[in-house]
Amino acid sequence: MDRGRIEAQVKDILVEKFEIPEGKIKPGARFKEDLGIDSIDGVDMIVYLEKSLGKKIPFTDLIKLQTLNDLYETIERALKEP
Amino acid sequence: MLAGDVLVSGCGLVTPLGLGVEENFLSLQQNRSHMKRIPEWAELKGLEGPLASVVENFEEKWIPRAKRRTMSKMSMMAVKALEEALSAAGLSKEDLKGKRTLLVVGSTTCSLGTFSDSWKEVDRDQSVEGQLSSSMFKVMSHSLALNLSSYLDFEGELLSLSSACSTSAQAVWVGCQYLRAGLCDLVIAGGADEVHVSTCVAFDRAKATATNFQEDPNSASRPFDRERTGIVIAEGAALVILERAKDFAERGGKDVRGWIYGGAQSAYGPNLANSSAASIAGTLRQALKDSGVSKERIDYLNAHATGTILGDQLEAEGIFEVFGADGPWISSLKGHYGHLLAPCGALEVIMTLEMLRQGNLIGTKNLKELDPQLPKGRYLAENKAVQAQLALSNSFAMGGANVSLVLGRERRHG
Repeated sequence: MDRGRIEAQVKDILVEKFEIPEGKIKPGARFKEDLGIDSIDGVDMIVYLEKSLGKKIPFTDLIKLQTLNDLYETIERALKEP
Repeated sequence: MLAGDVLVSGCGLVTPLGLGVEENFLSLQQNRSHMKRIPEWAELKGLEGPLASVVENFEEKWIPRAKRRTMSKMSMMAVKALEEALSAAGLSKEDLKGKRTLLVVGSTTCSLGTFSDSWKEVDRDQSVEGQLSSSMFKVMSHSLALNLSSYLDFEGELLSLSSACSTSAQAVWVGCQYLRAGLCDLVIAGGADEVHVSTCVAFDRAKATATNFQEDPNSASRPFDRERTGIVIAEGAALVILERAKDFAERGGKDVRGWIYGGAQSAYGPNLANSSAASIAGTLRQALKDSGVSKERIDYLNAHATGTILGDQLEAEGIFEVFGADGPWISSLKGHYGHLLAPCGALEVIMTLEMLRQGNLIGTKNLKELDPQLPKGRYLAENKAVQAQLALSNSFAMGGANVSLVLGRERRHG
């Protein structure tokens, strides 16, 4: 899966499930400060991501993330792992 | 401190008959109901009374997502009622921060729909993957309390009560006792519940659902009527703001919705399913004693009367034991609403106060022929213009969780 598709899938989840306006979804957007995504949302987001990507994403990796760009990179890494 | 010093400064309602106190009272005056036969329930083998009264087209998107994500319908309806109650009381969320506030609310159960949907998937797939963490906040017993607290960014005292059909009456009474004892300065009290088929199943198996009038659901809930067979379940939210008169005056409060002179609460341990007439009579007497009001002064009694054969009979006997045949006017609102369960006590306090304010007592809908087995009393089948001053409101639940509250239109004299 290329970066563009990853970003598109994350965007779909943020818009549909977390009601984030599309205009706010930028690579540098910070989860808490810019998107209002906190730890309760974070664990739900993993569920949606895993469903969408068909791949397990380690929670310990996600909890440290600050921005959407960090998330895209984490997903890219996870998808490359066997 | 006099019990009469507790006043109701704000009320909020979401019910199948409307949003807000005004719309609800108008619905009662116009004798409306909103009961339906639920087709999916009717397909369940053996379910005899698949009726319900549901809040339809409820709009919840105005609640911020970060607050709404952990709310099931009961909490969302309660937030709407909360906004109305605070606004009527002339209070903002920020005003609560500077006061010693008690938030005391409850529901009969958690969100059974959330629980059963989630568990069905887990059981079917034998997997927990796909289950959301935020669902947990909808299936805790105190889901309603924690969600209202979250909505308010509340930092006061939080109590979650649950005694099924008398939950919010208990909440109101506990709130009054806190205020009397000086343990807090402001109370938000009430309850909420959401309809789920399993609630209907529970009452149905206890032979307590309305099974007559299946083709005419709005006639099915018939408190005190000869043809009554049981309950029609309903949903909604009802909240009141309670204050001491002194505090209310000091903050410049203006519109008092009514007064709570006193009340009583008692259990009836010997029977799990029903209270007894003597226990109900005892609760009524204790409420009168607590409020310092003689029985002759009570103009109106808002009965719990849900339309069950035994429950209505026992309540009527209890009322007769205290008041005899020439006591207050008696009616129940369950013919209009069905049974909202946890919020019904607060709902009936609100509507009873509105009857006193407007000088219009609401009669029992569908009371066409008084059950001849009931003791005599002044049962009201039609709405009646009466300038009533004092009323009693009853709420009972399984296990005999009896609550009676004495309500007044004006502040007690002297």
